[in-house]
Formats: sequence, structure tokens, C-alpha cells
Amino acid sequence: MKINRIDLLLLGLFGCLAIFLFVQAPKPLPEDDELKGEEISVENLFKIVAHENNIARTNWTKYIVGDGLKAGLKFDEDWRKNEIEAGPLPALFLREVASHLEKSEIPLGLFLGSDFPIATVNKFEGYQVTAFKQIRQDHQPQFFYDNEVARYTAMFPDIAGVTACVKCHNEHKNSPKTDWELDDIMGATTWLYPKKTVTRDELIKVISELRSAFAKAYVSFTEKTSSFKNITPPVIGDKWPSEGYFIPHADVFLARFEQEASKETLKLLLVK
Amino acid sequence: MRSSAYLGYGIGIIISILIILLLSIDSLHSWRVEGEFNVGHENLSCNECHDKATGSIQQQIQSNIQYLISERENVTTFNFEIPDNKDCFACHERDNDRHKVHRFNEPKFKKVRDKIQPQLCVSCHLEHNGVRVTAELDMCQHCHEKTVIKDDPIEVSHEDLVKSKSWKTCLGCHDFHGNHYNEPPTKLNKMIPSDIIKKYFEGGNDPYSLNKREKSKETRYEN
Repeated sequence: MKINRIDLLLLGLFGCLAIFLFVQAPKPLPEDDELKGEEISVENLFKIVAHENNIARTNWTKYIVGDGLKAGLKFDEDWRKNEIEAGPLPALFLREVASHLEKSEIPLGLFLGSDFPIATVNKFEGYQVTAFKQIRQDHQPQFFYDNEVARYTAMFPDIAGVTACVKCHNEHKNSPKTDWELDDIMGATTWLYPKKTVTRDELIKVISELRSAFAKAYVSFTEKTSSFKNITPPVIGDKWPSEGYFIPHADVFLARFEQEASKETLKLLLVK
Repeated sequence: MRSSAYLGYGIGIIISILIILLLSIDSLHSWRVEGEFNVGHENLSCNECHDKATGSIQQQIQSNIQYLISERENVTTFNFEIPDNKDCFACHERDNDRHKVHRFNEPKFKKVRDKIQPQLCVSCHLEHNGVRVTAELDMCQHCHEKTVIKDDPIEVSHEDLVKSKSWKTCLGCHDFHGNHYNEPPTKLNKMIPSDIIKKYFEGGNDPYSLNKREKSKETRYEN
């Protein structure tokens, strides 16, 4: 076969390209899921995030909303509106956390729903109705794979922990149920995650991002109180509403949360 | 192969290289876009929405060749990433938003996601179309077909509007994201006509209010 100059030129060009791409090439890019390590079930991930969320919400509901109302603080479903000088009610605190999670780098979804929600948009539909019926019966979380959204899913009972929850839901003009009692299962938190297992590094990142979401949600509240014009803003420091017209600084709120949550979180983190 | 064929290939290669070089000049970025920028985005540069993809061009070519020969599981994004919600939030994050996109990721919205993908900003604000909103005026129908308001204050109840499928009236009283200071009217003759809303979608004047709750950033890189 006769090889002319053009063929040689083309061969040379491809040779240079191959050297450029493969011989002189820098380190190959890692695959997206190249994180290796011991695998932990997504069910355990759900138990940890639900536990952390439970402590954060309980602290918010009891020590900020419950004690805060007695101290003269206000909480409102329209707290985000500039003209409303109030903080978020417990369900809305959770929604703040969910919003910050959505903006984070982890694919963890969080939603709150009920069979008797104040806002109809939060009413369970489809398979969530069935899962929630089971939760009402045995008070146990439900774990399953949701084919429709292609996500591993967990639903945990959301219990009326303080009288403020019961009172507000029973008295709200749009409430479809007005006979809630303390310790009733008022709804469920739904968690979504795309993978069946995670590495310990991934799990730690999830916990870290969730705690960051708690912090950001709380800071939204302290920033809002600082903007009050018509009512006196509460003093932000190391005191809690149980001591008067005070609210704790975000660091103080989080320190209490970490103290109460970390022992159980570590225990769950060590489960294989 | 005849020499004229080689000449043809040679000219083709040279022209291609010249076009690529021209398109890579930053001041000519408008030549590279798919279409006219949407309203309010006219002066933005590409990197306001398109993050640089991971790795160098050399690594990206290498990875994609590896993908083509099945040595790699996933395609590597070349040069710029495809924008997602987080890129939009960089300038348009609004805590007050009454229709936060992430809420549509909830399992119950599966059917709506299949129809209009409301969980993505670009489903209603597809860039490079030279408009403000690319959604239809009657989009509310996908979620609000069961809307009933207790003690409904408007002259024709929401329930009746839903029954009569008057979906184009919704945005005449309510702005979708709730970012305007405007009180929804209670009388239908006070609502904004749908042709005015349509013009607003296409880039016309804001009919709701010029007074907004939260303003967008001019650039994602401002502090």
C-alpha cells in the first residue's frame, strides 16, 4: 500500500491527539459515585436524620414557641411577611429546614404532611395515606422504596409534643379537625434519599448539612426578630424565653441541641 | 483519494478551526447562545448561570472518550455545566416564595411533575427565549383542581372558578411567587385581564406592583 504525505500528516495528527489525551493527560476525573467505603443502609440514615430533626423541633416547639408565647413572643403562619412581626410556628420551622436542605449539596428531601392538615397542600395522597394509616396503628416509622419518584422513603410519626401544637391546630379557622390532644400523632415527616446505601463519609456529610439547615432556619428567626419595628425585639444572648423576653443566640440554641442529640446520633452512627 | 478531495477536507478543517476560535472569543459570547436572553438577563455573562464544569478541557475530552469505549459509567459535562435551580437561587433566592420549587419534589406531586416539571425553575423560565415566563397562563389547573376556600371573600367563589375551569383568571389576582406587595382583589372586574398577564409573561410591564418584597441580585458574584 502506498502511503502519501497527506496520510502521514493525518496519522501524525491523530498520534499527537492520542498522546495529548492519554499519554500526557492529567489524572482522570473521578466518577460521580466513586466514594468508597463501608456501606450503611439508607434506613439507618433515615433513623439518624429523623432523630436529629425530632430533637431540633422539640427544642424549637418547647423552649422557643411554648415558653416564648408565655414570655410575650409571637409566632405566626405568615411570619415571613414583612408586616408580620413574629417567628415561625413549629411546622414552618421544619419547612425552613427543608428549604435549606434543598439548597444544600446533599440529595435529602424532607416534607411534612397529615391526614388533617391546616393547609390542604399538606394532605397525604396515594401510598402515603396507606403508610400513614399504618403509622397511626403501630406508632412505628415506615420504610419503603417509592417507584414513582425513584427514591428510598421513610415516614416518621409527628407527635403533638406541647399544648401549643394542640391549641393552635384546634383553634385555627382552617383546621379540618378540632379535637387534637397532647401526644396525638398529628402527621408524619417524609424523608427521601436516592441511594440504598451510603458510605460513612456520605452519612457524616448528610448530618453536617442537616445541622447546618437547623442553624440557618434558626438564624432566619433571630434576623427576623432584629427587624421588628412595632414591637420591642427580644434580647438575643445566652438566655432562653423561660427566663423572660429573651431568645438564645444561634450558637446557644445549637449547643443545647447538640448536647441532647449527639449521644443517640453517635450510637446510630456506629450501627453497621 | 484524489488531491481535490484532500483539498476539500483541508479547507473544511481550517474553516471549522476558525469558527471554533471565533466562538471562543469572550466578547463574541452572544454568537454562542441559543437565543435572545430572557427579560432582565440581557447584560449577563455566560458564567452567571453556567458554572465551569469539573476538570480541564483535556480531562473532559479524555473522560468522554473513555465513556464512548465503555471505560467509564457516566458522561462528563464539557466546558460548562447545565444550569439548575441552585444557579437561579444565586440571584433569585426568596424566602417568601409561596411556590418554592423544591416542594414539588414531594411524592404527591408526581403527576404534576410528569406534566409540567414545576420542581425546576427552567420549566417556567426557560432561558434564551427573550421573554420573562415561558409557562402557560392556565398552569394552576395542575395542582388546584380541588381548591375550596372557607369563608371565601371573592364575589365568584374559588370553588366556582375551578368548576368552570376559569384557570386563566388565577394569575389575574395572585402573582405566582407572591413577591409583589399587592392585595388580591375581591371583585372580578378589578382583576388583571389575562392578555395583560400574557404581555407581562412576554416581557411587558409588571401589572401587579412595582413594589416587590425581595429584589433579585444584579449578579451572583456580588457580596
